[in-house]
Amino acid sequence: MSYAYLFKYIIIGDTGVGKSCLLLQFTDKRFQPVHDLTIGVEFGARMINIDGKQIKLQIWDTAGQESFRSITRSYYRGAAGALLVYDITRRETFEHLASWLEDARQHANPNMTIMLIGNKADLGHRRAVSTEEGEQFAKEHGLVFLETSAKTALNVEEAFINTARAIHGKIQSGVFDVSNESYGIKVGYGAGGTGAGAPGTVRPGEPSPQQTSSCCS
Amino acid sequence: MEVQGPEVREGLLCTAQDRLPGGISREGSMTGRHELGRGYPNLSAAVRDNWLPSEGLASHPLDEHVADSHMDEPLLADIEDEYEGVCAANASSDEYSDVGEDVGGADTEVVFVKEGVCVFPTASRHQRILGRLSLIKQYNCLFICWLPYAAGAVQLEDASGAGQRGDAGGGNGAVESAKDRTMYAVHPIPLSDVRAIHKHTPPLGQHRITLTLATGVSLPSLHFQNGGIKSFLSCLREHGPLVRSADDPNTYLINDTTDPLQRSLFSLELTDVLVGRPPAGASSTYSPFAGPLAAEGDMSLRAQLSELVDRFQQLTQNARDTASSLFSGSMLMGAGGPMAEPHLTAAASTAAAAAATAAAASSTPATAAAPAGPAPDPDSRRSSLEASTDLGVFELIEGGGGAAAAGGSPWSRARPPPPPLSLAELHTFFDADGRMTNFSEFKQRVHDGGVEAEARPEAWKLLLGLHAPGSTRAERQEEVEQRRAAFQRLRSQWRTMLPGQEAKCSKWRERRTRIDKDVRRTDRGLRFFAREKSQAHNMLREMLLTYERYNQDLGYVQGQSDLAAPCLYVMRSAVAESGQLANADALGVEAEAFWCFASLMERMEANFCSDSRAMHAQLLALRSLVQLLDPPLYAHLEAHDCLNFFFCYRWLLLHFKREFGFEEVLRLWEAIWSGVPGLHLYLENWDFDGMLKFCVELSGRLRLEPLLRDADLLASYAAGAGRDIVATAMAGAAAAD
Repeated sequence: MSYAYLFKYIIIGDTGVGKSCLLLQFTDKRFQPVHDLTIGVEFGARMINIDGKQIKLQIWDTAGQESFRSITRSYYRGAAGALLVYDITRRETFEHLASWLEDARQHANPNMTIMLIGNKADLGHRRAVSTEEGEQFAKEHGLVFLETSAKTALNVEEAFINTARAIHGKIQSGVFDVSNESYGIKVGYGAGGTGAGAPGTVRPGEPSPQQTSSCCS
Repeated sequence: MEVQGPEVREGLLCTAQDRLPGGISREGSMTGRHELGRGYPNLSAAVRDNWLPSEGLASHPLDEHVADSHMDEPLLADIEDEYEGVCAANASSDEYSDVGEDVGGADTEVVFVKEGVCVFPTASRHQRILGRLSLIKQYNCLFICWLPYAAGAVQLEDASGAGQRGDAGGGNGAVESAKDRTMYAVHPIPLSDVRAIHKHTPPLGQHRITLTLATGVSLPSLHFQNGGIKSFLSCLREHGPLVRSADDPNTYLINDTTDPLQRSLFSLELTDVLVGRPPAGASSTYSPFAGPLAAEGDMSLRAQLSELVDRFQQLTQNARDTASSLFSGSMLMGAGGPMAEPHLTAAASTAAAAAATAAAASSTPATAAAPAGPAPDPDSRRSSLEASTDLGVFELIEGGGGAAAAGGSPWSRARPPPPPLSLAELHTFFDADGRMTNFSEFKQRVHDGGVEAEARPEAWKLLLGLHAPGSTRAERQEEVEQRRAAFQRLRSQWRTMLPGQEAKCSKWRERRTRIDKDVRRTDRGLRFFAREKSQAHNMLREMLLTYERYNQDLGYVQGQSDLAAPCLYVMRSAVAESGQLANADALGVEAEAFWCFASLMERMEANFCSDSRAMHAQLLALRSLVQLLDPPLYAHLEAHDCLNFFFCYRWLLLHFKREFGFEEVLRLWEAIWSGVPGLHLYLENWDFDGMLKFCVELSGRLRLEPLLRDADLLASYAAGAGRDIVATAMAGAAAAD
């Protein structure tokens, strides 16, 4: 399948907030309550359509526990979008958002689009974080906010697609230089920008914050 | 392409002459091959005087690297150095064909250059002579040439090593090497004098070629340290008659005549050993085909075999040294444990990872469209194999795996593995009192064949050190009781927490919540753990909670449940009853499983530390091993910025738990734990070889269902940064649609 763009996403947030389930719901349209816990990173992909353009989302689903943070951080590199997920039934996952955000700001491209996700909205009776609090946090930090349920699929499509729409908008308005892969965007079939060199190549003079070659380091 | 001003050329000229003390072939007459250049003095002069005025050469990073290579710390420095050399070589994209340089007048053209091709004059890995391989075209005649770098540039680790040993042999090494350099140089040989080229591309090890001349003489193997054989051959093919032998796909015949009789004779004789024959059309008084292999042919065979053995020893020694220096250098793995065992486990699993990487390499995701070189190998797409999997179509990297490569592996001819160790056979290892009489033999047996499910609980407790091999049956029974009591005490530490106490212990509450969540997502595909809130779930949960109390410094870290589950599964199998166990039995199983897990964690603990230092050290070790054992794969990973090897993270952290089927994991683990005799794996030659051998054999066996296994490997390969490759490959495939 050809596509106009490929966007790299990363899903972050505390362990057990439903990151892998969100991904599975989005890519496979199913909910699997029993799921091997993520070690390191898992991966999914799906094609979507924005304004008549085929866009491929390549999604990196990371492990939530802090022990893996030093590894997880390396996955921020070249991500165009991030879903920052918390669990509305566990307050501490909401309280840890600031530290996740700090990590993202430090290791990701500054133009990365971040969507704040309050997951497990189907468990409203056990809610520990109000919708308003989520909205407030998003507003303070310049994020887009949605409450989702990976179980009922509520807002799952929207979460991924709205993020893509925002990224696409940034491309249209020229915020992103699509030939620079450190923005997490690759141009697909027939479009230019492929002459930029091998993936991971450092191109002098272009902003590539985390793109130090791992060789010889 | 005019690239350099005269002053630079001047410098090059000097360098070129410095590099060739004694001049070129005209003076040399030590061996027959030196005379080969005689008929072509102009060419020799052309090569000497106009030595490749191509860009990048004046300050080729490899040259600098070689010149700096007198190191005090041979092992580690060598690895680092080699590594940088490869980086540098790649960075400058020195591999190209059809350079089109005009070197020696209108009719001389260098059509191929490969830097860093080396010769090992002795079995010692310390004596490596780096040089430059080139193909030169003059008057429509193609010449092959390999010349060593300058005198000071030769790798003389031997000399420094000798110095360290305190003898005064340092100078000797230098003299010898200088002699070697001229002796081993392949001065321009016309292609018409070459009979065949044999390509050695072992799945693990450096790729190399051997030239066999028309006279039957085989030249020393030329080692391609970071790939390039394929482009070398395709360049040859473009410029001359190169025919792949019908009998041996790794042998390329040059000047193969159209005489069918000659050809069939040739292929008959050459399947096992390359024996030369006179150039076509020459009136020959000597024919190696006149009867049974002539004495010379025998010699050649023997020489080749011994060379093979030498090289192989060298390879495994290199691998061992690498692991040794890395592990002894970092000492990270040992920091947590009282014994040297963590080293063993770490080294063993790293070696296993290297083997697995190499195995996976046979189906490394392709990015055929994106090689770094400016001149993509026109042949690569045509001749490359492809593997189709769930994740897309992948190119098989040259020389990696595959039936042909496996057939060429020195290990593939090993005897078939023995059957798993049965309970009855296990008991033959005990004397009348139940003492294990020969522990190393037992470990060897486990290593070779694995253990039957029945015998596993007892075997694992011995392997994991819960019981000393010398203990009697009665002593072991007593130890079981003691462990049960100790476990009960530990478990009661959290079981007896008061509600008010729990309220004051947020860390504990947090970890408990995590354990509860994670037990529900561990091995649920296995029948044993399928049912939620089952006895098995509760036992696993209690094991992890108790370990959290037992090792509070580390606490619960994700991944532990993956290591604990097989321990519980195996210890549960010691009790014959199926279904729900009575409390006493359950306690016994849980206690033994807990102590197995705790013992395993002694080895693995460093991997779980939040600073990830141990993991990074192992990934670095793995990188070095891959660089050493599979340079093409290494180059591929490097080209795609995957040298951090994060895609192996889960392999190492979980002992390959997620990469294989559950039963296979049990088999793999007991083999890793059996390690090899002796704790200091890397100190003894045999040990590391044995481990490597095992890994390769194992990966061979695990690939019995090749497609499934490849898919598994690929899926695991795709984890982590390897996804970048997959993504690129998929993007490439999608774009090609």
